[in-house]
Amino acid sequence: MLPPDVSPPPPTGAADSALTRAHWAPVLYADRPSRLELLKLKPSGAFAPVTIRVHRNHSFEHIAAATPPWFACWGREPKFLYSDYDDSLSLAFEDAERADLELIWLDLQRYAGRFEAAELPEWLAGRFAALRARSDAPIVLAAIGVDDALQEQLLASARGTAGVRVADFRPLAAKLGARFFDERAAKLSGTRLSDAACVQTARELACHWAPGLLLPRIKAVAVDLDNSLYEGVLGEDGHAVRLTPGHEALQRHLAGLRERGFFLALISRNEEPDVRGLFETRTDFPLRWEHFSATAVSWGHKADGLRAAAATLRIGTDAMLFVDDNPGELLAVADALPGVAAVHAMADAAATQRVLEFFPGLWSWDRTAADALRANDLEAENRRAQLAAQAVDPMDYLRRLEVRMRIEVTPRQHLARLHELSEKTNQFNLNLQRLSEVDLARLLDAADHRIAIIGLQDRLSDSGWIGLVVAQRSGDTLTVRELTISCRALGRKLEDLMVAEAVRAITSELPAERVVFLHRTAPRNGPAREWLSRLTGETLPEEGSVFAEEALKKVAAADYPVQVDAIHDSAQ
Amino acid sequence: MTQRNDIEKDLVEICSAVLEHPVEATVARANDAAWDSLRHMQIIFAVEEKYDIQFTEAEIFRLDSISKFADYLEQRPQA
Repeated sequence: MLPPDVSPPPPTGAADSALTRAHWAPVLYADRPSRLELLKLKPSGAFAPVTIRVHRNHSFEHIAAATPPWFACWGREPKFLYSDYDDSLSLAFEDAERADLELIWLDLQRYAGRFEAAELPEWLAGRFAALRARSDAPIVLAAIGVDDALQEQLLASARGTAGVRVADFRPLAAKLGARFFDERAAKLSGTRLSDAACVQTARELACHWAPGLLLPRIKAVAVDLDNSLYEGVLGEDGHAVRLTPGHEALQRHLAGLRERGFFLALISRNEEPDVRGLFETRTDFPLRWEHFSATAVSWGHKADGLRAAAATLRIGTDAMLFVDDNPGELLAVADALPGVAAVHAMADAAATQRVLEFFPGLWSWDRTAADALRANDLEAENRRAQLAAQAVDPMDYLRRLEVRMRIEVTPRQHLARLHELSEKTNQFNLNLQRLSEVDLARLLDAADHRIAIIGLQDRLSDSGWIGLVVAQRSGDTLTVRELTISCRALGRKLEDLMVAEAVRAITSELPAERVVFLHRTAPRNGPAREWLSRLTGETLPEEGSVFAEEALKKVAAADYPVQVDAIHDSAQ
Repeated sequence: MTQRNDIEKDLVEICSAVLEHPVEATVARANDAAWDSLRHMQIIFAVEEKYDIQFTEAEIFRLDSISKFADYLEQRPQA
């Protein structure tokens, strides 16, 4: 472990940032972080500001003061705007002052006796709507004094307003027990939360709540093997490498990440047959060889291994987190691939696990059905490739796959997935609108707009909801403002049919003579632009629009051995 | 008994970190504008953590200088 008392230089580049995080890790990711040690960590460098407006009825300053080192880990400097202590949540703020996050910070004990049981969630639902009318930023309700029943009611009250999340304090309260509250400090600090609770709430805000709403999610965790997943070196210890309790828990945590939809990749300097043999022999390892959706086991540079794994997973390297016990490897990767996030695998594997638990981008507010489907769907890719090799032509391939496509127009119940598709899709994303949940909720209600979500399933796996079309009609023209297809769905050459059927489903509700696609160029959206260029026969400028109604008419479902189902306004 | 010099050294480190500027052992809430009520509580929490103690409400109000903290810590019975 790197000594925590060595002051690292201010981060000036990716390698320095990785080094700083490694130095700070023992403090930031301690089981019970120390305010005193946190105060010694002084983030320096140019960080992007993140503005959090706190609507509150008790003090938040003791939490805010502890947050900067954690925010610095994802390159942000927090700025807090405070309301007065206001039980009525009157939302007295200047509309001109934009916030990135609206935090409703309440001690619900202060409402005791003022509301009947069901009235408080109902009143809060009204406050969410009032705040949403004035701010498009994500809203987080963080309320203390909440039991199980009330937590469920609060979650229900949040569902009525787009982009509202409800934090859950119950795990922290259970962890701290009697130390969660400090009634002695309440009179002096303005909150009955103890200092320990304040510090750990600061970590929740900076490592979970805020990045869970403001930072693109990491898509893959790439791990080294020797002295990272176990204690020992395969080349020296053979299959007798040691699975310590900490490493066993770390492996279980990684397996859990996979179940939550993160890809796992194995990047190791070893001989692949040896590594396969290790996983076959060590049945006590919670992780299996099959759990890794991509493997790069060779004596080459690890940066090359990460690039290869990213290509296999069809993701950018900037969506990867790399875990290695060798700081030199971490620095080399940080230099070669500045976008890759890095975690130092410590000898104390429990400490490494805590870093992963709190690493920005590895935590999400919601678990969507797509999360569970992702890893299995990618595994099916290998079997699809075998089928493709056996098929006599592309249609024979699709026939063998038994593909079913499902289009839903105005899919209100899939708002979170719509947001994911707009926010996270990079390669097949034609216009990169990056629509928020609030944007999408408004467009779902707009009379001149329609949103279609596309689902894909075949006999090998259910890919889930993998495509999104957002279109607006004006006069006789339907303008496709946003078109995204998850990279997982691109291998089956069904893009033409998916888009044509989605547009047909939309024009059945909003008839239009002409269909125009908006497009713009981004570093990684070449596949979407190449598709549009091929479909229309047009050479695309950097940014603009292309008419495509004639090209789409030529795409007939009858020409594909694919079952297509279209559903309209599925919530009704 | 803990040596007063050691105590003062710890307290100077804590107060410098909380007040975000270097301080001397003579610093007090009355002579440092940065020592507001918010930072006072942070100093209290940090000293409690450092010495594994818990001040009473009255002590939280009363202990408003390094000198007073040092007197308190120097005179407290050792575990």
